[in-house]
Amino acid sequence: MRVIINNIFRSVKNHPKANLVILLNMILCSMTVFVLLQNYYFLRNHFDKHYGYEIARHFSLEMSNDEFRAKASDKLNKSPMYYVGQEVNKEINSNPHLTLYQAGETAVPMWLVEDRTKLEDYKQIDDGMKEGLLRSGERFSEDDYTYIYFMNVPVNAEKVFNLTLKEGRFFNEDDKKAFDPDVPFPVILGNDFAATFKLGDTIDLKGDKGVVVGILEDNMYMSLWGYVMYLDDRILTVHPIVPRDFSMSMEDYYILYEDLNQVYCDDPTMDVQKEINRITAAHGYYTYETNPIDGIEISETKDVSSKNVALIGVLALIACIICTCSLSSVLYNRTVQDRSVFCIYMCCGIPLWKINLSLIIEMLIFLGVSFFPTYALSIMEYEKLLVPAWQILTFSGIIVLVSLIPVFKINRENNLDMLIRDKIV
Amino acid sequence: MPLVEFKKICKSFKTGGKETVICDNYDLAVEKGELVAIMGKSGCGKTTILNMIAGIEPIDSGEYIFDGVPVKIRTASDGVKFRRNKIGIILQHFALINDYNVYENVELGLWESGLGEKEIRHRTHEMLESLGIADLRDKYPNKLSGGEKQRVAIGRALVCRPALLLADEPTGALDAETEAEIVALIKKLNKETNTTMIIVTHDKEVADNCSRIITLDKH
Repeated sequence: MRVIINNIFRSVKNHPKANLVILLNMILCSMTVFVLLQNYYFLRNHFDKHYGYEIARHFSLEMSNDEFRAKASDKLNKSPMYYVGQEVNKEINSNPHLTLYQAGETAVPMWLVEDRTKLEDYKQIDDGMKEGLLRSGERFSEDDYTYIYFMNVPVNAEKVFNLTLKEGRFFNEDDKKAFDPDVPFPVILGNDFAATFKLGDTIDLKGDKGVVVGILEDNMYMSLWGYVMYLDDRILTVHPIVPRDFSMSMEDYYILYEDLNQVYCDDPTMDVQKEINRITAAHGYYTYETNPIDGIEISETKDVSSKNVALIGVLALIACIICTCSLSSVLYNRTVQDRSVFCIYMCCGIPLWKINLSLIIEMLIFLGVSFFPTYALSIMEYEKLLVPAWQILTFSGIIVLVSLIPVFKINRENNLDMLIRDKIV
Repeated sequence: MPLVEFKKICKSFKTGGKETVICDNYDLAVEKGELVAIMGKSGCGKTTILNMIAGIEPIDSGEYIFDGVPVKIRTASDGVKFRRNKIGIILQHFALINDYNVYENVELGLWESGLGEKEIRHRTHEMLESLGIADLRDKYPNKLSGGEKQRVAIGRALVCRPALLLADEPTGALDAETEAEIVALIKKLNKETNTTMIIVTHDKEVADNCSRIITLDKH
């Protein structure tokens, strides 16, 4: 160990210029390999993994104001564009990886609750509202600022939000059709309600009644417009709650109020915008802009084509060959200068393998140091190292080992006779 | 029992298709504690014999016995193992490492000794004291005179307390005055440490200070 440490220190001290060139070479090598591997990973769509957050599963479908107004008018008038819209929705839903849905939150004030005995424990206070009422000086009751929260979810909520039930069943298409005030609409309760409610119990609101068909597992949540909504104290329904106009047919109701403005995609490699564009463009429908809600969209990863990677690969290969030649040459010259030292070492009983090992360890130290600029660059740019460090280090390590071959070869020729007969130039 | 014993040693070189015989059934015996000079004209094989004793040059045939044990050297690494802590070597051009100071150059002889840090420090200091160069310990070889350099080289060769010291023209690069000093030092160390010493020289004055002179003829 003493030989190795002393020789490394001697070498670092004695060859500042050569060592600087070696370090620069290795930094260049490391960066070249990093750029190549990084682009290769981008190409393989490992975007989410490298950026440390999830690829979005939920996207909002948005339109410009003018288009939105036109769409609303089409819906009201049931213009041909409305039927085109229906086709577009159908086609989006026919894609096995896409699901259109609508979701939202409805705060039902306690004064709307008919039978509140069981729901009393689950009411929630809107502090903002309470403060506002207090400031207004008007008379108010507790019911004015306490609510029971309902979540409007799609029929296939279990798939879209990855929910699981403790007991009961999920919603189905028939649940959505129930629109009679005399027929209770199905609800699924958050886990907190399990203490008070059981399957088949009803929740009586004024003029509307829900029947419990399922109870969620503990700690279930859904993503709503980028927020995580925990569902333990929420009531899930596929029905719109209040206000409702029962003189309107269910179909008309949905036409007017349902706006399938979110899409769920279960394929992390799918470019959702591209797919939506394809569908809307084929029908001449308004342009939907898809925006990721709960993560990052993947479409950016397609920016790097395989041709680019191939080109970078060739350039990286050339750069690595140049680096290897340069590194090898500098190392060789440095070793030639050190030959007499190595022969003196051997004269003192130090074996050649220890001398070679000290060179390898020295190069490994250089390898580690040369990796830092690449690491720092990646952290500055992406806040993370996008390529596994071991891959960069292995690649650079191979280059170093190849560069050391001539060094080992010349060291093998070292012998004391060269020293004794003064043959070392 | 001799420390170094050659029995019917043969050694030849082939250069440009021509064979040059260095030794033909050569016998040599150097007793423990002896100070022997090997003399001869240039090209007679003085250094080759020194190299064979040091295990640097392989022997073509014959038997080499070191301290009663037959020496078999097949590879360079066998040679390194054989020399380690047994043989110290000093050369005409000192063979000091310019990047290390005097202390480190002497200490170098103990790097492979397996001794602890404390013992290495103690022995190195002791050696510097005995050679009279303790005050030069922090100086680098390029700041030393020829005589001082050779003292450092002797220190490095002897610090591991070898059984044999081989010296190839140790005074070849020194002036007459310094040469006398170094020869005196070698004689003193030979007596004090009882280390066997073989000196290859073409200098009669150096050889005359040795207990025995072996003269080689050119084949």
